[in-house]
Amino acid sequence: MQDIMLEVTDLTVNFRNDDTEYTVVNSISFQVKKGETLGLVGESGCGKSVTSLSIMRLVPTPPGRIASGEIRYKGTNLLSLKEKEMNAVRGNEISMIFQEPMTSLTPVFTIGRQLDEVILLHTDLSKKAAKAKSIEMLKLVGIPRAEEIYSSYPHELSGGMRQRVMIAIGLACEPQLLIADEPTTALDVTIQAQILDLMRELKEKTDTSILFITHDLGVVAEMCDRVIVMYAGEIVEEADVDTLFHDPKHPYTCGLLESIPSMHEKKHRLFSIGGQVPAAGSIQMGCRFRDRCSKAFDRCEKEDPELVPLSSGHFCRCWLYAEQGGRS
Amino acid sequence: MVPMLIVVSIIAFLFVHLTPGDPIRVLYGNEIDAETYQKLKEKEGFNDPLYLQYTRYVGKIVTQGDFGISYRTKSNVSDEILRRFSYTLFLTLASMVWAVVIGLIVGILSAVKRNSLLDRLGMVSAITALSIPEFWFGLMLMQIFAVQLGWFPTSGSGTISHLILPSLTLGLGVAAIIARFTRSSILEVLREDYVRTARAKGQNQWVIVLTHVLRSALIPVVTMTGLQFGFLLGGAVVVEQVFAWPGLGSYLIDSILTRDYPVIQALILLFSVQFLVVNLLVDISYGLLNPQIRYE
Repeated sequence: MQDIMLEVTDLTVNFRNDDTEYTVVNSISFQVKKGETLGLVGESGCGKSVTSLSIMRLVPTPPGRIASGEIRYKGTNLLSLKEKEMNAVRGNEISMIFQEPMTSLTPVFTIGRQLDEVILLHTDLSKKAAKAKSIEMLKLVGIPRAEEIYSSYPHELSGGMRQRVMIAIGLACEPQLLIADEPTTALDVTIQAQILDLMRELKEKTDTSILFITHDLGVVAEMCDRVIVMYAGEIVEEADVDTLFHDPKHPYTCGLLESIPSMHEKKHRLFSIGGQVPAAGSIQMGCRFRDRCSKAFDRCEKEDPELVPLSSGHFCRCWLYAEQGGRS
Repeated sequence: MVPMLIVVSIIAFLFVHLTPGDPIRVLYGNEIDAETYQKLKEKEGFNDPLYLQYTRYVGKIVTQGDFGISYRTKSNVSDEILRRFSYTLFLTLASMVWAVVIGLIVGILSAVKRNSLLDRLGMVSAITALSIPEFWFGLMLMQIFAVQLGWFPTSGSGTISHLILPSLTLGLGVAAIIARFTRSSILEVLREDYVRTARAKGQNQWVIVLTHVLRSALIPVVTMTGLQFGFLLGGAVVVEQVFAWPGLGSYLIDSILTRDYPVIQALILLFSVQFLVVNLLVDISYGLLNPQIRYE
């Protein structure tokens, strides 16, 4: 059995809007093993970003609030740490890359200062040594003329370059866990491919665990070992990447896979799942996907389905498979 | 800047010369007879067309630094202004020190501890400070710190301790504005993605506010502070009266009341130049604060 790096148990995150509190992430549990890349997939608004921010304890509070659950990193519950202790984890043990490279770097500081910052925070290196390390990191993420870029400002760099800088910042202190929140979504397709290659390459070198958040199943297939599919704040299916692509069980996962354009078949119209993600808090009872599901039946209206094991490492939250899993 | 100055000088010149009121009567009294009146008017050049009067005026300023002779005191305008200018400058600088120090501290604290008791207290004080009339606040300070405690002189000028109470009076309103601007500006910048990045690095919230946030957040604050600085350089009429401070504000009022044209013109020009210089400094400081502006 591999070591467990991160274990999330029954995490629930609420957001307050006016006087009502909505559950955005509803009691989710998952694990990230050492050296593994876990994909977290779902449509916009399904709670995947909030989940990742919760691990870093960066959910904007208010309006957000981690209502319950545990997030154990190497056995320590991050939610019980003091802010100061948490700061020693952030950027050091666990670091995060964000979706928007264009706005995620401080515009008034040089690239070098922003890289030095994280190194000086978590190591005992001198300023000079930190600079050397920063330049080394810039080279590592494939930035040409690293010394020159070191003293450049973010606005002088392209989006792809900035995302490389973000990755350099993320990896500078050799974290055990890297959370990548849609790191390629804002980039051109060619740049996307470069960034993904870079991440894969760096992962092989450093053996960092990665929690990879995306809505792009193509990226999942390329990057991940295991995949969790989220829908409306819940995990609906969890499987290793081969099983998920070849034997998807949940109707939502099937729908997502069918919506991927295929090179081999000529279709006039791309498949899409009808309807929209229900607004947070709008479904009180029953399966959250039932209104968009072609296979929905009576039971889906009345009872909440549970996440049940179908085979080793393959879980699904759907009444269609409830009996198969041995539980109801 | 130069075309601005020309426009300002024309406006100042016209304003003063087209307003009713007779400088000859002011200069030589009401008792002179009609013949002497005409003679004097001819002699002082008031019968010449306006453009001639204007070019003569500007010519003297540019070539000799001569702003004319004050009608009232018969002494050189530039000397009179220079003597008072240093008082106004010191008062303004001291007020701005109060304003910036108090304003930034209150603004930053309020922003970081948003919605806390401290924040509410800070913002209520700011509103109060903005609403208090200057003369009343000045008199209160004088009553407490000068009359009862005897820490500072009640009025007059000459030493640093003379400067404390009037500058505090003048700086408080500006401090309140700076505090409110700083707070809202920081809160806005705190929502930026790069603040989240800095937090994800494990950086302490205070350090983030004082480094990543403050540089960008200060830009609107600097703009506003510059404007206030320009206003204060124009003299503080009320505070100068309360504390018997010999600055430009009371000089301007006296000159207007006595229709001392050369002085009024010179002061309008001076105030414009001050504003232009302050704005230039503000623009330069943008470049220091934001590298993106530096290269444009």
